[in-house]
Amino acid sequence: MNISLLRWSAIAFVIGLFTVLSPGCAVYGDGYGYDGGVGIGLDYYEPYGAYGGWGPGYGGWGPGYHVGPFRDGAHRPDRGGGHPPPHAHRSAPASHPVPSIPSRSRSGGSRRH
Amino acid sequence: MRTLDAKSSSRSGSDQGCSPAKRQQKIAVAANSVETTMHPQRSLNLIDSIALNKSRPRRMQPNRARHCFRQGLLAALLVVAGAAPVIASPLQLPALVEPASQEHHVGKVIFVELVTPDLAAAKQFYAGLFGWTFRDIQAGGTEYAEASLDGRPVAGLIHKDVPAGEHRQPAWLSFIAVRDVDATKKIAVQHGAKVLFEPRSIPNRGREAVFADPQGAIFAVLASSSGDPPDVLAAPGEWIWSSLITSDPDTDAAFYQTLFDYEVFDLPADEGAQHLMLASDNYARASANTLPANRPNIHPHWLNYVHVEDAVKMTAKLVALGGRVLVEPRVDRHGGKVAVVADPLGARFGLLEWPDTESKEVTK
Repeated sequence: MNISLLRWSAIAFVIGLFTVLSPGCAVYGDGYGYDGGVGIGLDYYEPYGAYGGWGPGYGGWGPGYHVGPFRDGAHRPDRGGGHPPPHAHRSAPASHPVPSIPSRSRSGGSRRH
Repeated sequence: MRTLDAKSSSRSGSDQGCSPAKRQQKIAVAANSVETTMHPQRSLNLIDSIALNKSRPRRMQPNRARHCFRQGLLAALLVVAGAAPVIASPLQLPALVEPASQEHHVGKVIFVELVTPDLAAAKQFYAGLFGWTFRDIQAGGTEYAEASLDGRPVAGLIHKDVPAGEHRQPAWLSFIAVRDVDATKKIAVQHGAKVLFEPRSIPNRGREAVFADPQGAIFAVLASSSGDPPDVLAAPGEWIWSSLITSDPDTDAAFYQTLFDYEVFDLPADEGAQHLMLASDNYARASANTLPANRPNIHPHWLNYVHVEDAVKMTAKLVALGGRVLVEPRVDRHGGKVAVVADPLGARFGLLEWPDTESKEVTK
């Protein structure tokens, strides 16, 4: 009886120890990052409140705030006279028209709605 | 005893004055003392044997305990060894392109994933909104749902609990196509990026890594082992566009240009703002816009848009399903409407109409 009890106590102790300690092996970040102990390890990447949970809400897009692509036949819009200001990026040559998104349908050819 | 008597009497002169009876008594005591002195080992053995007899049952218990502990440890190790492959097995995700192709479109957003604390609610929401269907995949202790539309994978949803006492924000993560994740990581780090997830190979999917760009916007890169999805017009319900809303579009565009060899187009913008277009393979891949100045609490971020036929109707449907509208539908530069919305758990995404006319086709 005592031996059996001792045996099962030992088993329970080891399993309990493993259960308690194993989460400690995971690497937790500060809001970004991954869990080291999980197969794919994805995590939440946006700081809480990034969507306007506090302060002014998301948005604030004025009338000229455009985010979409150009459509068919998009030409290079005129930014106003003179040379463009210096940039950190390399600007595409002025002769290049602004491309649009792919228009080919999956079945081939251009898509008409 | 006689010998002892003689030795004792000759050794101790003080005994000489004693009576014969007392002398005999002293001799007997001395004899016992001498016997002990002359045979110490025997005496110790005797004590040991007594002690052993007394402690034998107690010594057996530690032995048995040790034996039991070994057995218990063995059993526990077997349990752990059995569970380890299940816990540690890598998540096997479906290939991005089936059948596999040799197409590669570096710089194109080829996949998106959402981490959410309520997978069931997220599935219900996106199924109701876009008609996505889901296939559950469980491995490595991770609950993953592959979202499809007309049999094509459109997204991955991952369940992850929010730790007690913490606030985490569900977010869609953009995966941008690269050919070599490790080389991309090296360049990204050299140019100020932070590695959030070291390059890792996902069976069937490819190799991926997650970074924060120099402004803090989070993005992932993926070298798909099955090739990249073809450059075709996204169907309604599929992802069609991406934009980078950041504090410094110029610097960020330079960063992404270094990584993906983007062609960068400067576009007109309001005073104090900058609008850029990022292109590769002669296709527009994303826009880059300055964060609105009146929203200091909004962090730089990538925003992905789903193709919808009617943004107004879709936002109404979204609200009915528990979502929120963050930017009301508004006409954008392409003539269609865009809106920014959030699912019931707060994950933000965009809706983009693509008007019913033929768009530009580029012959490559």
